[in-house]
Amino acid sequence: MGREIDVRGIACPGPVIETKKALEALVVGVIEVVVDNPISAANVEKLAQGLGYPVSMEAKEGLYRLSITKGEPQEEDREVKEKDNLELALFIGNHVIGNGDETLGKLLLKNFLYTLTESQSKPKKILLMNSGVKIAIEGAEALGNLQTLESQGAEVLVCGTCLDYYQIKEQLRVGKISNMYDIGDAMLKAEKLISFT
Amino acid sequence: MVGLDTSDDAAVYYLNEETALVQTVDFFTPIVDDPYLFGQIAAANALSDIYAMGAKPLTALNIVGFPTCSLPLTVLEEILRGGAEKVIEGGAIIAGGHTIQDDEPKYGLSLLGVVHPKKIITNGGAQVGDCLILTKPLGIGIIATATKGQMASPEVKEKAIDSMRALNKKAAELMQDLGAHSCTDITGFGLLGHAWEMAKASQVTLEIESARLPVLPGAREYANFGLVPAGAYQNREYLQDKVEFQGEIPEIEKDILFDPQTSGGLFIALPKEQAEKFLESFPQAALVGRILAKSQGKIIVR
Repeated sequence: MGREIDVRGIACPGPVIETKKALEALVVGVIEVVVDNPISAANVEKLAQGLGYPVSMEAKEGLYRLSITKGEPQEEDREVKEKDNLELALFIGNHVIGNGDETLGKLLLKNFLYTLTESQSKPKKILLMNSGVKIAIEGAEALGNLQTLESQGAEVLVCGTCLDYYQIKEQLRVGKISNMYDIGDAMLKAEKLISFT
Repeated sequence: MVGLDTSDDAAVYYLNEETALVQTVDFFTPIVDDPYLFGQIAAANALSDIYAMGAKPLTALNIVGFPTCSLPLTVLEEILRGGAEKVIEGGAIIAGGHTIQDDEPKYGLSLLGVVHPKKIITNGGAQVGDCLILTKPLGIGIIATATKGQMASPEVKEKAIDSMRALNKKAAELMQDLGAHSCTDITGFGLLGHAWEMAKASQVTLEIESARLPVLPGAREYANFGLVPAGAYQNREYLQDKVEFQGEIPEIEKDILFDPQTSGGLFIALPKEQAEKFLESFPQAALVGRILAKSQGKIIVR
């Protein structure tokens, strides 16, 4: 039997937080969440979908009962994933592509990112380090494409130490200021890593 | 000259050929723990209504509710210090105020500003062909919800606070210099709610390009976790027959479009050339859409 959590009468975002905690504590199984307002119900549903867990909802007499299944990924899903949709991380450690003329290098990087915005396989994470952080600041040629990729779902992690070193932290216009721990973790966990150094 | 019927940011009273008076009031409960920052944000938010009309603030009156029994007076001093600093930064002075005993702290300001009667910028002046500019990133409501749930990271909170306490002064001066047609500031009704007010008052169809929206770091991630404030759902419901979504707009982007803002940016309609000049002088702003045609008022998001 699954666990039931009753979050009636708890103000937003309490129901989401309680559900998240319960899901984290659970290895595999079903959690039933009972809420008493449509907003909390929609938010709990978003949480489950955001985490990739199947969720169903039943509304009855002003109560909403959500059933969330946390389980091993289905075998079929996994096969599809292996073929087409490996989680891709992109490590960019330079503000140009390759060695040679700087203007050309910047243009190539901008165009490469543009190509990704139009491509089927999108990077899940984009990791910027050393002078790679310069493509995420005000006025950078590649900025627009990077913002588009972020809006398409890529998480952009920007090395904070590097921003400080180049004294451009204030000019950052895309992504999240991050650290070696998180960037390293993203590289180690990536199913496929492409790097430009 | 401007009253209740067009849901504008402030009331405008014609004094003489040279001067119109602009009056506004706004106050709210704390949205951050630090009283000094709360004061700054509340003042920036109140000043914004003056700026959104293209006016200059002159005097401000503090409005305070404070639980003198349960909180030390130093907290109140910090709130007022933050507010006063922003009022001075805005070029105005604090001329007085009023405090009442209250169960929870509340702070805000009533402001008086002036503008030349021919240079008032309302939400009703947008013209076909105008570009639409937004001067601050979205996502404040989502980040505030994540903060309440203790899920927001310090970096994300800091960026959101810096955005909220930034004055819309420079953007307002710039749009006045460039002859903007229409403006409103983005607050509780979210980008689409305030865009709707502009569309309706100007009698136009307005197009927003969702891929161009400036968004605070962290907001998309938290929205994906269901940390979406109730206000965003209310805005969505109110606007459902007024907004047309074309193509596949991800739910997260919709959450951001409906997300209620505190001390949000200015949303400005101005001709293309002027919009380009605006972006050159104010690069943190973003071009987010344009005015498509005359109509009864409509929004298209694509």
